[in-house]
Amino acid sequence: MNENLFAPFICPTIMGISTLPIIMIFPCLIFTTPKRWLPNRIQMLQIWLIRLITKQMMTMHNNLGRTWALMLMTLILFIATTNLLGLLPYSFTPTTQLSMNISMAIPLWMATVLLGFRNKPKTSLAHFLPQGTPTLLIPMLIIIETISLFIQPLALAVRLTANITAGHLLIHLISSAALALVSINIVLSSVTLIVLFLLTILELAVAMIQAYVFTLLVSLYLHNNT
Amino acid sequence: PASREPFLALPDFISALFPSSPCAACYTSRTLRWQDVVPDCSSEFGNKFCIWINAAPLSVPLREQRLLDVKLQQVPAWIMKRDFSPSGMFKAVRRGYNAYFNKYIDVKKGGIGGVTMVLAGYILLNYCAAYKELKHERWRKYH
Repeated sequence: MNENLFAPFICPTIMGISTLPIIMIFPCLIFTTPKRWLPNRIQMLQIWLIRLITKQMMTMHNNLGRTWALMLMTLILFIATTNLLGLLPYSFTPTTQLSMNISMAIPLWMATVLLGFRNKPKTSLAHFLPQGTPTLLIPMLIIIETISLFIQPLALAVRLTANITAGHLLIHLISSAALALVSINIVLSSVTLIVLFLLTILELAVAMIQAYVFTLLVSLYLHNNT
Repeated sequence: PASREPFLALPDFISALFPSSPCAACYTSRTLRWQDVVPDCSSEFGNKFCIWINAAPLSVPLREQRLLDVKLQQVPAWIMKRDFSPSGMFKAVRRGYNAYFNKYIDVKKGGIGGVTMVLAGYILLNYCAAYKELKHERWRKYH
């Protein structure tokens, strides 16, 4: 039981060969490129969804920010698909690994910061000091704003990791409890099963919301720096 | 075989007109089929537009046969002749992906069946990968 809790978070291997590349490339197989003018049903659904998300996310940006549309759409689709596929039985979720989330968060955040310092250096430096700050608080506030700037990528990565990992652990624990209670008290086991059902619905929502939050924050940092 | 009869647009009473001709019954009137128009590769008149319809399996090289046409005893030899270079393996994966996509997904009235089969295969793959840890839990419960 104790060792089994960590088992879903170990990188899976088949006969010594890691299946991680297959698992990470798998979302690409689901999203197909339409070859005809009028594609099939699944592709129409996919096109509608991508256009909806693009319109929602890219309206607030200027022309420079909109050059990031492809990157941000890829990001949200990848994280959402990976999180949703992780809810299938026995599957491994790459977004539970902090290494992967940090490797997504730090380059994107640093790109926005460097873009801001290159294009609008004065505006980027001005973000370290909010308007209307009392004079005595200025040094402390600049230190706080600098720390909050460097915390941003870590927060992005840890938020995603913690949410997905905690959700998977909860599902694992409650399902084990429900299974163990079946032979002891059937009524209590049914209540636990209802809780598990509600938790699964919550995890479905969290999977999509976390992808949206990650991408929205990256687009917000981009908006501040363009 | 009857399919190898030459097609001649002769009337029905030809066998009565020429009773002593060899294989008079062969020259019967019948409808024109596509096999009469498209040449068979096994004939001496085969060209690059021919179709392997009546050829015996042995006349096709093993390398060019499809898996379902290969005899069971020849399967290991067929596998050894396949292209195992990176580009060859990638092309095989791409062929498999295109075949599945065109059959189940890229159809006029596609449903959830095509995607569900893919997800079921994904679950199976992950079960095989996780079996090393799962077997201990199963053994602990039942031993």
